[in-house]
Amino acid sequence: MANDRREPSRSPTTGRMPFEEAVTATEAVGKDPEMAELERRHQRFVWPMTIFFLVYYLSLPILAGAAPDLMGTKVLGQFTFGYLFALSQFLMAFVVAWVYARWATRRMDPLATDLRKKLLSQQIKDKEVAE
Amino acid sequence: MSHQTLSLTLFVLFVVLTLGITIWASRQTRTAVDFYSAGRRIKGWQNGVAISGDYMSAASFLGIAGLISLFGYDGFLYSVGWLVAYLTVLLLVAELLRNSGKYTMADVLAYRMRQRPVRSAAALSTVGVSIVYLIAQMVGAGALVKLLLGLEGDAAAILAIAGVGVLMIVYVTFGGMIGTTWVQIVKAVLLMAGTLLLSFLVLAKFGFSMNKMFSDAATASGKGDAFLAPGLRFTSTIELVSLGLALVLGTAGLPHILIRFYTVPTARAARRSVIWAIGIIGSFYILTTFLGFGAAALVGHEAITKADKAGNMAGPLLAQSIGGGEGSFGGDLFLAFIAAVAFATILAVVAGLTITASSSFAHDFYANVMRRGRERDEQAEVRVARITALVIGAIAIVLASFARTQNVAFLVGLAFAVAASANLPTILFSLYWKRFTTSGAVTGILVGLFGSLLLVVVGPNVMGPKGLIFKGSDPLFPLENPGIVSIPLGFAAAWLGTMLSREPASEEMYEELRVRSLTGLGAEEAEAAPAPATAPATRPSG
Repeated sequence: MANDRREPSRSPTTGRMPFEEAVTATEAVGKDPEMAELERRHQRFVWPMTIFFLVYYLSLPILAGAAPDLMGTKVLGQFTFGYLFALSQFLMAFVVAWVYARWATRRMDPLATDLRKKLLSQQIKDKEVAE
Repeated sequence: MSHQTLSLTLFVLFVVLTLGITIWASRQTRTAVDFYSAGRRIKGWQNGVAISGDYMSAASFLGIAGLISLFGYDGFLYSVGWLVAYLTVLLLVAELLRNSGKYTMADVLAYRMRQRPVRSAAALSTVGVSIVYLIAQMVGAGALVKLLLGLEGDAAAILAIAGVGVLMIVYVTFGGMIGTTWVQIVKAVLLMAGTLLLSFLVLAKFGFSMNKMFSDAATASGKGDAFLAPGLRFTSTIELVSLGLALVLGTAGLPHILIRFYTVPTARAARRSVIWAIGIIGSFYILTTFLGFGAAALVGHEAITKADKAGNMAGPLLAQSIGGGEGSFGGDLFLAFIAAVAFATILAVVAGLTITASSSFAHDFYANVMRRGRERDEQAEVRVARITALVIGAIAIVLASFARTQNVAFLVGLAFAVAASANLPTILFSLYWKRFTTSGAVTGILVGLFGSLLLVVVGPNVMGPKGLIFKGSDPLFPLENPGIVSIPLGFAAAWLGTMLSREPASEEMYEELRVRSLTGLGAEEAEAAPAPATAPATRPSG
């Protein structure tokens, strides 16, 4: 089963290939409190946001199928409720994208950069010790 | 000068321009990372424009305008779904994918799984989804060429399809990803410019009153106010939700969109590129209101269906009408311009799809499965990718000439359903589920891929009175789009395959994948660091 997992082209230390500079010693990082914090922030933002936009989006086809009269009601001149609701989906997408980008830049990027630097210097040290 | 000559001239100009780019790009393409990922030197905003160019296909430009012009409100639902889909990409996939993969969609799946089974399955579904998508584009191109040049008969359609196919093979085999990226950027700019201009002129026709445009469209459609409400194309809630799910979840499983994130240097650049794409694609889809309702009011149902039953020619016909009508110089000129934009659109999408499918075959199947990943010969790999582009192009030409009577939007919607069912469950589980195993990944891909394809074949578009086969009997599956059944089926298969197996190695590696994908460790510095011993000469002499 596992015999084709380790192949010559991949790093013998990690048994994995994606990047040539296969970086080792990430095991300890899993327990790093900073990593746990990064993980926690990511999960707490991404999933609720996904549920929100999926529910908001799917209410469009559901209403279009189940309440065509409501969707066809003219709200503003020739603009129907259905058209305005469809337009609001564009606005929703722009706002969610903006909120995400802001959140990622402020809450994720500094922490991620920090961790990456810490891990890299740790690896260089490990290598020196090994040599 | 007739519109044939005009549109030919404009089209040839575009081809010359993009071939120039391709030749320039071929001089920049030296290594595998150049060919597959444009050397990861594409900037965030450039990639955003290129994603838009990759995404806004014949279905968006010709298909949606046509659907709105014939069915009013219902057509606009496509526009909404195809935009909101980018939130799935932005929130769940883009950055993590950028940090944990390299060339193809399968890189992420293969990160903690056994290479050969996962890469084989992923290559199969990449090639499958891309070919379905490709057929749709080439059918659209064939119809457009035939109509524009006023050609009649099947031979002309097949010739047009073959012509487009040959061009795309040239782009991909010579230019690789650098050439493809620039072709997409040029096309996106052209398409946005053309659509903005057309929308502005439509609005001007109605004295800048959208109210007047809507009421004229409703009157001209003969359907009255029903034209501005849902129900003319879709009446079943389940059908609507099924289509909606396929649209909103499909994009995050489209290999040709996903691999674009490998062309940028960092996760931040990947994020920036999705934000750019959302801005551009969102604006474009809002403008489809003017193309569709404008065509309904100004061109009219009868003229649109006379040119093409599925309404695909609504946009070009609208341009002709705005320019002064059939036979006028302005009408011919504008028709030629919009038609050239539509060609550019199709060519760029086709190039993106071909390079994706050929990369996956060369990198996943040839290098990692057939050669078992031993001493990577990057030159051979790129050569295989080029040959594959040729073969896939030829297959698509043949299949498209058989499928030339099919509706373009139907085929693209199918590609989305297949992508959401086969690829998305495995991608999400790989990135977010520790327990996930190789068996789960393979079953998820195969069941999603063949399940969705099968449901289409036994559905109303292929089987039964409205379909192609067994016209006497009812279709076995009632929905046109299989999404609502096939997407949960893909997830369930991936889950079940996982629960029936155990793979401690995959679980061990999960922690590492999370660290890498969230921090960019090993992905960002790797680009700046000098080439390590394992990589073959990054810059061959010369």
